[in-house]
Amino acid sequence: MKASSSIGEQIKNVLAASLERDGSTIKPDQHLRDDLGLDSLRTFELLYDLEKAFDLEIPNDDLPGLQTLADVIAYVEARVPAAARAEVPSSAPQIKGHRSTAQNKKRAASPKTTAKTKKL
Amino acid sequence: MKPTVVVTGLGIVSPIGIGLGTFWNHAVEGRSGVTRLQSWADPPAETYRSRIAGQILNFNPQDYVEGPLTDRVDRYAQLGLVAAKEALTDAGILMEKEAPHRVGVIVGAGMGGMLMGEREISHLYETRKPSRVHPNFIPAITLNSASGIIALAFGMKGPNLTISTACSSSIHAIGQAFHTIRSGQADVVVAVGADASLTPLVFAGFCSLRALSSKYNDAPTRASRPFDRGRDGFVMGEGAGALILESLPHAKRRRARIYAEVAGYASTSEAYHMVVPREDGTDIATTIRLALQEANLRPAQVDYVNAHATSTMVGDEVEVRGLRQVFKRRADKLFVNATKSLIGHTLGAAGAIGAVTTLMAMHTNLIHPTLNYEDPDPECRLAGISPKTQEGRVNVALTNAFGFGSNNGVLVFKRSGSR
Repeated sequence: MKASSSIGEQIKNVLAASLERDGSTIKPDQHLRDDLGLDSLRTFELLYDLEKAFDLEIPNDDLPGLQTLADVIAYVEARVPAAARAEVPSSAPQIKGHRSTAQNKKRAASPKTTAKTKKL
Repeated sequence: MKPTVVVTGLGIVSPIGIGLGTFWNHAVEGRSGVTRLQSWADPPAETYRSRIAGQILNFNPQDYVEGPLTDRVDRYAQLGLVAAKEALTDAGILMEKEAPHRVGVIVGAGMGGMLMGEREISHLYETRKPSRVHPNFIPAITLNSASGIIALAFGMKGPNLTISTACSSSIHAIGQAFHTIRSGQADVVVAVGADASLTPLVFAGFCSLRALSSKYNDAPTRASRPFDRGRDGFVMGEGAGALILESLPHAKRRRARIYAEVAGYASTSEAYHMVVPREDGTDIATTIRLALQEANLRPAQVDYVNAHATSTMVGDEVEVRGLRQVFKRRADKLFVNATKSLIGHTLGAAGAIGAVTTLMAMHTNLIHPTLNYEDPDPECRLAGISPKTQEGRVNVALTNAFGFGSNNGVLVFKRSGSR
């Protein structure tokens, strides 16, 4: 379950960056609006960040099911393929404007990039 | 004493008709102008969450306005120019008989020249050659391009302004035109609202904001459904509305036909949230009260409200809450309709199109239907909203418009000569 928890951590980090608060104070059972204070615009920003980070499409019809952080984590875990999950670097929180999972996959698969990274 | 201000001419370019007669016939018939998205080819419509819009199909400005001006301006300014020309003709204004410095133009536009803006940005990055950016890009994209081109086209040298407050832009254009005449700065002001930002980027932005309807992509005419329980966001539209505002003595001298008097106007900020209205509706109620106060009228005298009613879950509820606070039991005796149910939300043009609709209702005693009002949402139910055309004399009417940036505007119109 290491891969799954890394997705959870990543989502928590995205949220923490958006709320400008310490991730350790955010708990999975917290309600996005009532406990974390996300209004509709902030919620859509979070969904945007997640769609980008995990290369997902979250339709409007699914929004009523995303009430708590745990709902969001379960939703993303169910949609991100296991293989891709394993490649999500848990140490690299992806916040606004950062690479999508697909781009990370590409990067990890490229020996050239890896070699370059090693050199550095 | 401040002069009375009246409306003597109307013009409109809309998804259900170019020209007042066609628009109004189709409005009272309850015709929808919402169709499948076809304003651009790439990215394909299928890649967007929402795939429908209130589009003006087959619009060719040269069919309505002569001369080379129309080639050099963005589509929103073309729509505004055509609406302004119709309003001037409707009012019987002949510029050769007017003192040019006494005739002004005030335009409301929410997005402005986005079509041209996106086209030129694409050119720049596709070619990587700055010299490929068209020399007319800057004059066309500056937000006052429409007010400029209208003044140029007709030789109007009075106050020339552009107001941009998102979806309430043109309610303020009309309100400021009203105050411009009242303060003696002009005899006549052409007040216009225009927006035509059905563009790949703007549409994507509204999709990302999850503001647009996406449940009715296969049934476009059913998508814009203000006050109905099944609503799921607004349908984006394009268009322009124009009104000729004139001091009463000036209109009398010309023996002009008078649609109604502009009796009051209020402009407020909720100072609350960039895109969400204050949930309890108090700020909307305050704006309505201030506008009625300027008109020296009581809520009990109001007969009809052309609501902002975009077909979003929160917006429609909040507007009705505001109306109930002001009108109390009378709220269920008012005629209320939503023009956006016919044509979608034309953003910065919405206030002017709403005002044109309000004045036509006063003029014809017909209240156009609110389309798709099939299952009234108990949170925003009012007895005077109907999916059918209603008949009734309207002496006093309100036009509402609210915009992103926590912005509210309300206009009050009064039948000329009524008390």
